[in-house]
Amino acid sequence: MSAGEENRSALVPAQTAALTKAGAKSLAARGRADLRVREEAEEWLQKGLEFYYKRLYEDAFACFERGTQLCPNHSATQLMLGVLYYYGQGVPQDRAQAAVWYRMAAEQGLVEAQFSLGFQYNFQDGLPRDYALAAFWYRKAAEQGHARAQRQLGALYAFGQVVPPDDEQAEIWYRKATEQGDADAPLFVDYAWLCGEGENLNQPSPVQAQPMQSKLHSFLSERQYPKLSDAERKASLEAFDQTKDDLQPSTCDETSGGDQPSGSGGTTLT
Amino acid sequence: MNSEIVCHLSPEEQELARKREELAFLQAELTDRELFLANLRAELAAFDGRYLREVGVLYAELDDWNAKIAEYVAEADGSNEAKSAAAEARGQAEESYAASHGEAAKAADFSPTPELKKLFREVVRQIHPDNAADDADRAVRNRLMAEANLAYRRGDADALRRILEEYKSSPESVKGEGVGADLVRVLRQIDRIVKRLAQIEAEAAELASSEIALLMAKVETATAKGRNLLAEMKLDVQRRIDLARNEYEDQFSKMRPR
Repeated sequence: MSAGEENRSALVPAQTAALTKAGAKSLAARGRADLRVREEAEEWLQKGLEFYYKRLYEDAFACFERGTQLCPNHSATQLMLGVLYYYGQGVPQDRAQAAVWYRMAAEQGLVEAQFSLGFQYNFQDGLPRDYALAAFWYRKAAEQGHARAQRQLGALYAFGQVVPPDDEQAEIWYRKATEQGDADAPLFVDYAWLCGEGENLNQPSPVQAQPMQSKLHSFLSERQYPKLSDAERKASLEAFDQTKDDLQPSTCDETSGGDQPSGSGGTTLT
Repeated sequence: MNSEIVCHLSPEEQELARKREELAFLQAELTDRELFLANLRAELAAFDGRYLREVGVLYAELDDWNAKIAEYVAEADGSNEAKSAAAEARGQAEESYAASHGEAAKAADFSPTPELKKLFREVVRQIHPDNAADDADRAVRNRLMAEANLAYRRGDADALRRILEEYKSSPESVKGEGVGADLVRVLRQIDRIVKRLAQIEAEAAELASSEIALLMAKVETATAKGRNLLAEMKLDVQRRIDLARNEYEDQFSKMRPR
């Protein structure tokens, strides 16, 4: 901006020119274009969710797919795809594929995806049983305040599935879970949840959720738990495995027995 | 104006009086609009700076990774298309870097105090080029006006005061060549001011429709709803950077097994 120019049009035209540079590659233009793409992906997610609530799962799947095509990074859409694959809604059930989508969302910090991934590792649910990874993902969700992840994490510590067993850690996580009020909503469902990343976890979701009723549940909720003998541990684990069934929302199609882990038959206690 | 006096003025004198009133009104309007335009420019420049510093640098990093990948592929592939793609990618990366690390990115936040605004208005009122008596005067005023805009943008009240002192003008100091000549001059001034007002509106419209202004509007709407849009954009670009970096490292380990 030269101060020596004589004519009126020199009154800071350079500033305006710089600001209005609208070349296709200008950084502001790119920012806006990317925002628009993200917004469109959000719209597809919303449409998909509407179909989902109406149980039109194939349409929902199509919408979510479109959304990820537009914006491969959209974590909430990734989570929904994981859900559809997990319960076989709108697509043939494929829990391994579900885990692929859950992982993408989990890596972006989406708490429900982190919990689901931990769950799948924990119970050999489409993923090889791996307590270390289960604990890893539970912990991520637990640190964001996910009550069930906290409880599951506590259980892993208590039952020695995380080596070495750590009663102190178990206690810490059980306590946190109890303080949260043990929200027992199913894997996901309300969009506010998806985006809240932990905030709305303790609100009941619109799709029904049955609180877990198992004895083990109340046992685990107690602040002080006694040391278990091996037999008692085995029984507890069996009961614990069965509570997994409580996690299925009643709307889902019956799952094939194929890749379901059988009770605790194959469990090796460390 | 005293109605008794009006009766004694000739038609030209009455016309001159009316036109002087119109001129005064327009001059006040002009001062307002110059301030408005200066604010608009400054706010946009400040937002542009912030955007470039926070998001722009990330785009530059992303482009750099994309260029690295393209260059790697070109080295392995060797074809002309691969090479020109790599050159284009590198060009884009350099452009993004320059844009996000250049002058515009250094623009500081803009928050003028009421005193600064008042000072700017006063400076504009006194030195606006459209009030110049003759060409030489106009030249001086043009220069000062440009400086005043820059000083305002910087928030430099002292500079504005210095401008005021430098130009000790007497706005009404015009040679009295009679009502006719005065009227012609006043009409010319009105004409210039009307043109300048139109120019201001045109520039404001251009600014308001710029990419950066539209982006700023989006960010402000989102802020009102409690969303931090810039943070979301940063996250988005950062994820893309991570993906690109992973891809580059994949290529690297594929091409050069250890």
